[in-house]
Amino acid sequence: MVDRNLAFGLSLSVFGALFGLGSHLVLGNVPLTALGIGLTILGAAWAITPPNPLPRGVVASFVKSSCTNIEALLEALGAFEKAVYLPVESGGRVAAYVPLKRAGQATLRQAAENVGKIVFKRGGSLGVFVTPPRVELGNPHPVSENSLDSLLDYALAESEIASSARAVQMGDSVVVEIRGLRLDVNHPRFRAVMGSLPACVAAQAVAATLSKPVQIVDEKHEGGRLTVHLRVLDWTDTAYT
Amino acid sequence: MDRHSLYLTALALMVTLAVSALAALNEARLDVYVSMFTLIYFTATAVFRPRRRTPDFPAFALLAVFTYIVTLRVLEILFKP
Repeated sequence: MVDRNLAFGLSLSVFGALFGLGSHLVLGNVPLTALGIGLTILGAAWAITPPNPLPRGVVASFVKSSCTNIEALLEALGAFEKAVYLPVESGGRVAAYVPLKRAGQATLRQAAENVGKIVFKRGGSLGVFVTPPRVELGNPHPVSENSLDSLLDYALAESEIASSARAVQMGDSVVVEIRGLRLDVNHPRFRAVMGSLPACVAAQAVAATLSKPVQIVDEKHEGGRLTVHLRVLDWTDTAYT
Repeated sequence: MDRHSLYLTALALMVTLAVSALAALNEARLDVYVSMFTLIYFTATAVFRPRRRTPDFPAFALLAVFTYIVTLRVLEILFKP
């Protein structure tokens, strides 16, 4: 189905093009021709801009209620260990593995092979998979999605959680600086296990970009800025399971 | 008002303002208008960073036209008798 923006934008573009052509051929008037070109550009920009189906407040309430559910689940399970964000091979999805009992008897790859199930158990290792609040990183046409910076920026800005983000990778750690924080949750268990909401989304973006497991090491708030330290893990690591 | 509505409103206002101002100055060169539109489009896109559902075709078209205009101007200066 053709949406409102696309229909209006294309109509404006066609009108602008005809108006400009008519002004040039019939009237020979440069400002009117330019106005036609301007309308064509405006219409094209309008057509390729997707509509926002949900107001920001509604999106925020969805995200918060999702975090509340995760908080309740983590409370019920008595989880306190930091989650490991595992990229899932299909569709840029990331799952969070929350260890409940660590025995080091499974690799992170073995844990990742069980994403889709709720509980993971191997030997003495026990954990659960949680679907973290996320934006679709596989969304159509994000700006140069191969770069870590732009994917982070895309994930945080599109979900209206923050206005921008920058990342620096040094060996097996990534430092992400997030500016213009707009949305967060105050659930203590969620923050202890999954990190703050912006850190959680940033960790997912980094895990999806690097295709490696990622864990939040620490976070530092300074004014409207949040600095998140992430550790990039190996698939063969057993220390986190 | 969300980011996308702001972007489209700003773009519409700036295009209208540019055409009015240049017309008031009796500007009769179409390439000046198109160059202004290119500048406005890229500025607005950089400031508001709107999400796109397809590759940014208007940006490619404007860049191509702008390159053509600049090339013509440079050639005009180089080969001026």
